[in-house]
Amino acid sequence: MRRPTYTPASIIKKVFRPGERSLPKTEVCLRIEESGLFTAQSPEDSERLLNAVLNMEHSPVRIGRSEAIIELTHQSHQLFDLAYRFLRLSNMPKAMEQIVPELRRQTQFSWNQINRLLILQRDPRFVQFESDKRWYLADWKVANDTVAQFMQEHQISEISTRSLPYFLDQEVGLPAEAHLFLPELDERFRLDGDTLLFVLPEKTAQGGQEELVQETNDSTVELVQPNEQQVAVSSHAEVAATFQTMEHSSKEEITMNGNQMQTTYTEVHQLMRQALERLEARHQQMAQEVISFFQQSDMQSIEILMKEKHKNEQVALGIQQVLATIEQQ
Amino acid sequence: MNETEAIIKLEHRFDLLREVVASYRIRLEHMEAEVVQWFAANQLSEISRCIQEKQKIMLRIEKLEKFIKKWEANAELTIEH
Repeated sequence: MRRPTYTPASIIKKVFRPGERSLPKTEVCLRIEESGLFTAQSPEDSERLLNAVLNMEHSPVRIGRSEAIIELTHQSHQLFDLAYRFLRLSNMPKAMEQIVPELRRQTQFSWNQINRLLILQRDPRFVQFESDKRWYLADWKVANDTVAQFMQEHQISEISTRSLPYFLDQEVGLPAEAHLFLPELDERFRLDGDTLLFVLPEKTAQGGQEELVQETNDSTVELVQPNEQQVAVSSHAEVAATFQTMEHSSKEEITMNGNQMQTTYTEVHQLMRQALERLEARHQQMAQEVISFFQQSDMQSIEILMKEKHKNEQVALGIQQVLATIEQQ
Repeated sequence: MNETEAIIKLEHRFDLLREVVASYRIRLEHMEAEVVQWFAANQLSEISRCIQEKQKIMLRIEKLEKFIKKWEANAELTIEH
């Protein structure tokens, strides 16, 4: 089963705590084992991992004054801090192809200089996952297990990607600032257009579904190239989706599927609540805007803003009525 | 007694004026919050009144600041006791 896995260099980076520049070799190995980031078969495995990273080009660590000391190679530079800020502010993983243009915009450095200087492999604040070229911040937590557990507990097998941020924040209780949900690197989840599918373990026990999962597993194993794998997973997601919808529709024909109805309403409910939140956010924003127009003595803009507010309030009222209808059912 | 008091006040006159300016500025800040409230209550006429008042106050602040700048610089030259 594929799960988000940190690259070897990222595992080493993650065992260094913020502010630590060097650690005894034994401590590094011990922390690798304790971290749970790497499933070591034997104590030698973590040492082997460390040695492999030490021999890498642009390794984040090197041997210190004595063989027993491992130290970080990272030298701070403005570019790393700007890249860090970029990721921190956007709260999204970014590929080098996205980071470089952003830094070119912010600084005088040329494309070549940035590519030569900005070796994120060395900076312990940046980590990567296997078969994903994007860079993540080391302190972001991967929430896949929590989400999977939640979906299993509540028997949710699919959710619209549009309501996903709201779902994670409000339902699962994972604020977006500190948590990462990486369905694309996890075989338990499949993305199909606008829908995120979750394979409920209990459902796999049923005949048709089991075959489907088996099929998907087999063909993913056949693929070795990481990039192709991404494509394959998404195309399989499509297949899985068709299977699932087929299954669902046949069920609906026989009996009205209560569960399906409930999920639809829950989803509609979530989207509506999201829309309300959006309007509320705009409302807050308008209060700020009115102050700035006031400072500029711009009465006309205030009038336009007032009209927008009227309309928003009407829309919000309408949505609230719809919500009330859903809740009545 | 009265005379010394008067002198003290005279020496502090610019500070007093500055205080006036400061309280005008505080009033302006309060008005921002007021405008948000009027906006929430859909009172456009009140907002336009606020804007007029704000412009008046701004004008006064400007004049007062000009006055302070003009007279403070040569205060020691002109007022002798």
